[in-house]
Amino acid sequence: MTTTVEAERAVQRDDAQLPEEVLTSRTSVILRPLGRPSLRYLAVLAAALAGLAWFAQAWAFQLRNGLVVTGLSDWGTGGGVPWGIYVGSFIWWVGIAHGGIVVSAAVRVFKIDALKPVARLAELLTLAALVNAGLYIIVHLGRPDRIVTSILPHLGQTIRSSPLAWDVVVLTLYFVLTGTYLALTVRHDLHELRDRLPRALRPFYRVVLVGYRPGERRKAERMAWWLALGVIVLAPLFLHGGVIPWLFAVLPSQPGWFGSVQGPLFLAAALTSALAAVTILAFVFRRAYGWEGIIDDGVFRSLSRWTGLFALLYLWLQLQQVVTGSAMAPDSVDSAVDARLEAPLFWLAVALLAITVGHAGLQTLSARLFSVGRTAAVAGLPVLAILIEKTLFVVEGPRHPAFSLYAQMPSSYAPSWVELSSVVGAFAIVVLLFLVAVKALPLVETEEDEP
Amino acid sequence: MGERREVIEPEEPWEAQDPGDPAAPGQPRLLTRREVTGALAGCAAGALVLGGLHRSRFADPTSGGTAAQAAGDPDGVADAEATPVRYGMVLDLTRCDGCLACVEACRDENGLSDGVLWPYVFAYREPDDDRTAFLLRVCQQCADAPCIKVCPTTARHRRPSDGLVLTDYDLCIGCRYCEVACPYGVNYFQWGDPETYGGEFEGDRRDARGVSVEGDPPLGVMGKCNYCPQRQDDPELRGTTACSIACTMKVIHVGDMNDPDSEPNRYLAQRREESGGSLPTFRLLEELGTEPNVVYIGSPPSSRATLVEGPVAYEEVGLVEERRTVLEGPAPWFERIGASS
Repeated sequence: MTTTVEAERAVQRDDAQLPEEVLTSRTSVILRPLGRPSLRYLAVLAAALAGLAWFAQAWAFQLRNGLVVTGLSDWGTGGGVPWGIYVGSFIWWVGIAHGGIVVSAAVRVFKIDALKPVARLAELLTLAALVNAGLYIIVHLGRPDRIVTSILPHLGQTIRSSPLAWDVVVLTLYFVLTGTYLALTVRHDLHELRDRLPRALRPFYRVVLVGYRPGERRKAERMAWWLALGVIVLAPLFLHGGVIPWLFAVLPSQPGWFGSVQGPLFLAAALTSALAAVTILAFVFRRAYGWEGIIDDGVFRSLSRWTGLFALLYLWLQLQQVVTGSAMAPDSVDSAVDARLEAPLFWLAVALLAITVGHAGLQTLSARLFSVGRTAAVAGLPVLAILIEKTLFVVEGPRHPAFSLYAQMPSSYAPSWVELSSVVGAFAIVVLLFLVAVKALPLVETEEDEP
Repeated sequence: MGERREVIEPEEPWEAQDPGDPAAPGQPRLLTRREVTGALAGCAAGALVLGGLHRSRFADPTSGGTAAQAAGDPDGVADAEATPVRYGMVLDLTRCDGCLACVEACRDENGLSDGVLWPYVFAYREPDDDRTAFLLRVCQQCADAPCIKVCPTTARHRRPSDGLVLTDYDLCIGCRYCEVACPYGVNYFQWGDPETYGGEFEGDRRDARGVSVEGDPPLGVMGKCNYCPQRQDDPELRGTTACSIACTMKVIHVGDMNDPDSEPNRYLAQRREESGGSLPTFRLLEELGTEPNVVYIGSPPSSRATLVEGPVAYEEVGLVEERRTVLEGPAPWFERIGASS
């Protein structure tokens, strides 16, 4: 225990001033998961593989029979909605991805040291979530086999006005950005620890460390800093504060999707759900590998505060939408906003976020009220709330269109078993990626960055 | 792993400042070339997106302008393929009696699946008016079509010969963006195998250009009211659609809206003359800036209009009005196992 406490302090100080053995012990704690898999690990692995297999057969069923196996239909006379939980989940995952990398980038650019131990977890979460975001675009399509042959040759033309073309471009950009960022920061660790990493994975490390020179450390740090700055600048402009909300907000047909605060609203939702997801990850890894000294209570205090702050921002932006959309707005906007206010799921999402804000506030008021376990449990609420709200947002758009006669037609949507299976599958993908990563990489940066 | 190659190479040639640089570690000094190109690429991408947005979003709200005017608009991004001939319709709602003959005829000619209603007839009433009014909804052949703009593949396109907005069934990826972007709700996706869901289109779907655009779409792609390109390609049938032929009330007038001498424009002029210059006309949801090429004679439904039963129910003539009710997928394996045991 003494060593972990020392290690904890080590996080706060400059490595250079630390005795060698403290550094070493901290490193061995970080490397603890890289050993032989435990029974519990294998059980989680089996569960994740089963989840993925279930999703695979559900998707195969959809590919064979068409999207008729979903709960979707045409809007208007069709009495349904053409976009549902696939698109809702897409926004959700892409939000977690964007939020995750913003957390990591903010640690680097704004020197938020309290969150430093979870920076790499956030980066890995970003990659896993981006995989899911991309997957959801594909699962959503009627002809996924044409995605490359139909999109790429026309990108030069479609990039001018198709939000989906923008989306494909920024997702690709983001994947490259995050992958580069992670590679830059992980190479040094892998090189330093090369003698203590699993022998079996040497070929993999050799690939990651191609061309590595010990002297690149400082340069890599500086490049990572610039990449992080790029992320901080790009996120509000073109990512979750831009292109993703524009997928909806630029359309004249669905007043429920319109609104100039959609950008900040999406960004606030992304950061809330990402911070909460990182909280859950941090809790799981801390419990599983005895990382109390690495991911200390301070990390959870900080995560709780930031999550609460962005949840509050999100609620405030929703209030903006509701007030401007219902006081003296044009009829079509008014009816779309009214519909939102009448949806019980909307209020459930608001309530879950309000609890998140309240909980964070209480923990800030008094140190005695703080609990790591409860913080992790409460973190599940905003994650769920954002999935509910985003799916509702997608579905309610076409149900309350500008063409008011349609709004009087019966219309409903409930996700089918195939659609719900995708939610399980996407979750399994994240778990699997972390199960692989935890056996191959140190999931916490082993050294302090240069000041 | 100690034996790994650890070759110390000279500093990269593109490094702006170099060995022995005294700058504080980690402090960014000068931008390297890669950093600068990266930043520039980011700015360029941003400018491109914003530029596209600006040009495509704000259509002239005063509209009323002809498609030809739209074609002359140098900023008309959506109208990259603006055409001298622009097919559209004049729909005389004052004559419509809600018989649904147009809907039936379209289903038959295009072999549409159950619940796919390329033309749709709304029956509604205004408050303080006992009369049932009708609104025939077809594709509006917008000059500034949101569906073309949002399409990520160019599958939704404008045919150069007559300006028809069509879907290339061989290119469409089935993302349904056109469907959510169209304010008129004219798009119908092919959710299941058309043969299983009442689709009866026979033919190779190819128009005069050889592009797959005709009839009920195949599985997984989007379809919509297309003004029967099979007819526009046939000199004998040009200027007709399945619905216009079927309409005994002479509500539907199809033709080139850019040509003052076309059948719809002549009909409109004649009706204007008959009414002494006070003929009420409108374009549907014109305020959204889509510049529709369909001109309605009559009054648009107000925001307080309520839907009512029409004189002929869709079910009465063998049509399905609410498609969701017939989109039941096959039972999954686990249900079949449950059912057989």
